[in-house]
Amino acid sequence: MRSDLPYLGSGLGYRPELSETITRAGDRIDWLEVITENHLFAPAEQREHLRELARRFPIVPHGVELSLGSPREPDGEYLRALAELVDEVDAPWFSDHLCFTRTDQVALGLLAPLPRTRELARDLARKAQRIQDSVGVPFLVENITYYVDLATPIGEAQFITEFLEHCDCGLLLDLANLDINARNHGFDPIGFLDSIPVERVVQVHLAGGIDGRGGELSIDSHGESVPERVWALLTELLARTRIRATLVERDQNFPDDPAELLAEVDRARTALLGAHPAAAIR
Amino acid sequence: MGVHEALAAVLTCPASLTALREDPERLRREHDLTEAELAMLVGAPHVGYTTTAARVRSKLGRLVGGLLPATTAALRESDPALWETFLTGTVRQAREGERIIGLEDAELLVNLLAERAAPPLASYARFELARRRLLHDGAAAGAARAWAASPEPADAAALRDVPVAVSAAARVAVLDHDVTSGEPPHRIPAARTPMLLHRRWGEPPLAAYRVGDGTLALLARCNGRHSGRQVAESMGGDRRAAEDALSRLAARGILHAVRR
Repeated sequence: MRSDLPYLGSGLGYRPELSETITRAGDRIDWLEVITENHLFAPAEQREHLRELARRFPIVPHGVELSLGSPREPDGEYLRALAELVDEVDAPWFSDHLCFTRTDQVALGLLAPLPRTRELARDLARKAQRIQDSVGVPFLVENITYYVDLATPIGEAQFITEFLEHCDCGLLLDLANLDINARNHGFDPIGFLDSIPVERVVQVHLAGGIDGRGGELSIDSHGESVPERVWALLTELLARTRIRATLVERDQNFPDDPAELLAEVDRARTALLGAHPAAAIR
Repeated sequence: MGVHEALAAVLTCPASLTALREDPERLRREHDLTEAELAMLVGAPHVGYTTTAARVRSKLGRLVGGLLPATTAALRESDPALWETFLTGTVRQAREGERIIGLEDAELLVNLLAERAAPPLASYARFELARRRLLHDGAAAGAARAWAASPEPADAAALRDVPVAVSAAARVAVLDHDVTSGEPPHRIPAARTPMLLHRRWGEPPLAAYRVGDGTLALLARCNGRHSGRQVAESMGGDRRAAEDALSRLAARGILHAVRR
């Protein structure tokens, strides 16, 4: 993986509902992540708005529909449009998920877990490498929240490790997903951090979900504030490696007072700089 | 075929989920699974499947709700059972080259409403879908942008001797209910309502005008083959009034002169 990736700092996921907050409090937000599919084939004004944002903030496109884990190759037109988008906003990297969202028959519209085998991890690594090469900037692959815990030969940490060993893509580690998966499926998240090549983590996601009660699973809703458990995982991660960026995600239940979200962005920045004071020197 | 298809089926089809619990061999045959693949599926706790299946339905609702917000809000309020029928009965197909994700699913809802919802809501849904399609139409956006950058002369003289055509930024929809009444979508009154939808460059990006049958007839004649004069004459009646109407439509970028 390239070692010259820029340090972006503490960012916020761009959502139309947060547009005003981002405009007013831009000096407290180091960078923005945008949902790739909201812009790829969007109305032209939306693309123009994105270019305006890119003049003010570093922008990273984050996809939800590449469906890296589908058996078939990604849509060539999608990849061409993605490369164009990346170029247009001068993105330092782009990201999507280690999952599948569709098969030949069905579009799930949801990040679905993969049948984790070493062979599949290696196949997907080769595919991800081809995608990265075709888009032209580093491709970060994100761990998902999964509710179906398939009885696979290898666990998620082993699958991610096998994947990363066979490509030079980076890892976007979603610490909220890690926290939820650990609680839903009963594993130790610190052990997970100790099992994966943390030096490949470029960026993290921070978000809040809904805690499961009475046998229900906890849900990754992106609708709550970042819980202390997730902040603690960030501290653990930063004790192990230096990362380039953190990102607070909120997709619903937007707080009336934007100060809540901005405080989370500030807190992530403080954690980044506290762990690696020289990190901000670009 | 394969474990991906089998998992997708289990998450979207209650019969497949039942088969996984009660007759996994059937699932294995249907999806040509190896024993190892079937074991992965069978070995997963059931609560994960039900939780994920609920989220698939919820994501469909959010997707279609984002494209047809007024229609879906009214449907949830006026006929929640039909909304639930849509969510539980719709399996999104994987569509090669789908550009506006969910638009075809929104159309499925509009078709369902045409069959089973109260006529006012069905009519409003058609209107909202037509607006959404135009908003995302690349040719319409291009035409709106070009016109905004350099509006063409729109006086009657400029249109008189050149063919005129409806802009790619405009669409006509003739509805059975008055979508302009201001009533909630499921309570709009029955009335034949021709609407002219216009993609604009700027805010708001879409305008909708209720038009009369005269304007409708005029627009239908602006097919790029007839000059402004021929169109006005073909309308019968007051030629000057028809030419003025052409000018007004051209001044808004709804009509344009065809340059050869």
